[in-house]
Amino acid sequence: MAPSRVLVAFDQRVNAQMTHGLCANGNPGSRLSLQTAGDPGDIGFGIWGDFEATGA
Amino acid sequence: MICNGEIHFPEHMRVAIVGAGPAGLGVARVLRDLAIPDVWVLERGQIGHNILNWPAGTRLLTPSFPGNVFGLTDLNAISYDSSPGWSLGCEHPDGAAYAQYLEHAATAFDINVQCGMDVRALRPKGERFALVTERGTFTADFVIWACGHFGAPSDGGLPGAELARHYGRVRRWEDIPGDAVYVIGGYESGIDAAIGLAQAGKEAIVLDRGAPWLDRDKDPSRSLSPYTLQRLETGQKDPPITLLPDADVIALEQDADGIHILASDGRSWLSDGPPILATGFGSGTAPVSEWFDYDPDGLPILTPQDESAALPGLFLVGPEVSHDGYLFCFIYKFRQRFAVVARAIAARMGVDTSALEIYYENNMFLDDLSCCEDDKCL
Repeated sequence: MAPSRVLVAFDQRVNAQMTHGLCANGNPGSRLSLQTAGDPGDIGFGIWGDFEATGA
Repeated sequence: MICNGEIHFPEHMRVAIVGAGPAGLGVARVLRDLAIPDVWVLERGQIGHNILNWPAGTRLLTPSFPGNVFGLTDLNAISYDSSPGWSLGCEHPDGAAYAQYLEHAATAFDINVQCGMDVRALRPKGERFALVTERGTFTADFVIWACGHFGAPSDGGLPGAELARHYGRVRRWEDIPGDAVYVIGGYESGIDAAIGLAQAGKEAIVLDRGAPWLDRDKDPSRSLSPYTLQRLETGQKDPPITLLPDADVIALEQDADGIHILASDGRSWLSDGPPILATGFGSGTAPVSEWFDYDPDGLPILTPQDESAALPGLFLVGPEVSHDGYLFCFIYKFRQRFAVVARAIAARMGVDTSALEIYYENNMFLDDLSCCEDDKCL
């Protein structure tokens, strides 16, 4: 799957990545997979990046 | 890694960055992208220390908007891939909110920050630098000075200034005594003070030797921001904000009646309580001033790599960076010089700098200042 620019969202403690569309597993820059959406109210930080999505 | 309390960094660092505000953390992120090891940010207080000391109600002048996906990086972002506007859900963050963005950025970008580390002096030590702190002396190959000037209020040498209170020392406008308060200085901090006072239910009278609220200089570093003009337009109704131009304040004197504000043309105004001094800020480089030369405006003289002209290996990032009269005093301006500093350090270490290409792509790498001749870069 081609890399795409996505936003990786983190929670308020920036120690858990949340879903906002595509979401990374592990550290920023890791491979992506679609996950169940979290609570948008818990979002604390986001990073845009060109990540390679791996699944649906 | 963000460390509070106990010291966690080594006695010798490759790069020591002094100050964990937007400039220090922003340049640290670029160095991280270059995989330069042993980079530490040393902060005397906590992340965003100066910003946390803004008066309540003060907000970033530049708007935040998450245009990153179209290559239009949020004006207040310290990195090309983050947006305080998106993260905070706010267009003009206040100090507490922006400090939260900075702390989240430091965590997400895995930047090493040692809080509670006040660097009080800097000395060359052979090929290295010695950083003198109250917790010992540490060494570094390179030092990047990233202390903002909000922590250095200046009274401009005004006689009787001790009778006033500087804008940078105010935490809440509600705490300022009196129903009518004079503000000396009509640039950004002066108008912000007047709006804050009005919102606290106090009449504000702004005295300025000119009329900066009428100046429409095309460089936003030299005229009031649209945000401030907008706030002024909507905020000066009740209680009123009075703007007095051509009021060149030369001294403050106190007697039994109160504090007299004296102007050069013989006029005077009587204030019941301490006036607010919106007379600007000194240099954040004061602790290391012996290692910088300064121009007649008091700005550090820098090489094209933003390195001290007096001491190689000592770099400056942040709002005091200037070249040929052009000021990089907003975040969206000074962040364009992070990669310049990082490239210079990387080159001396023999580190590959190809990772900086993305900074060019995102308008975060202004290394050709010739464009400033037509004001295109500012």
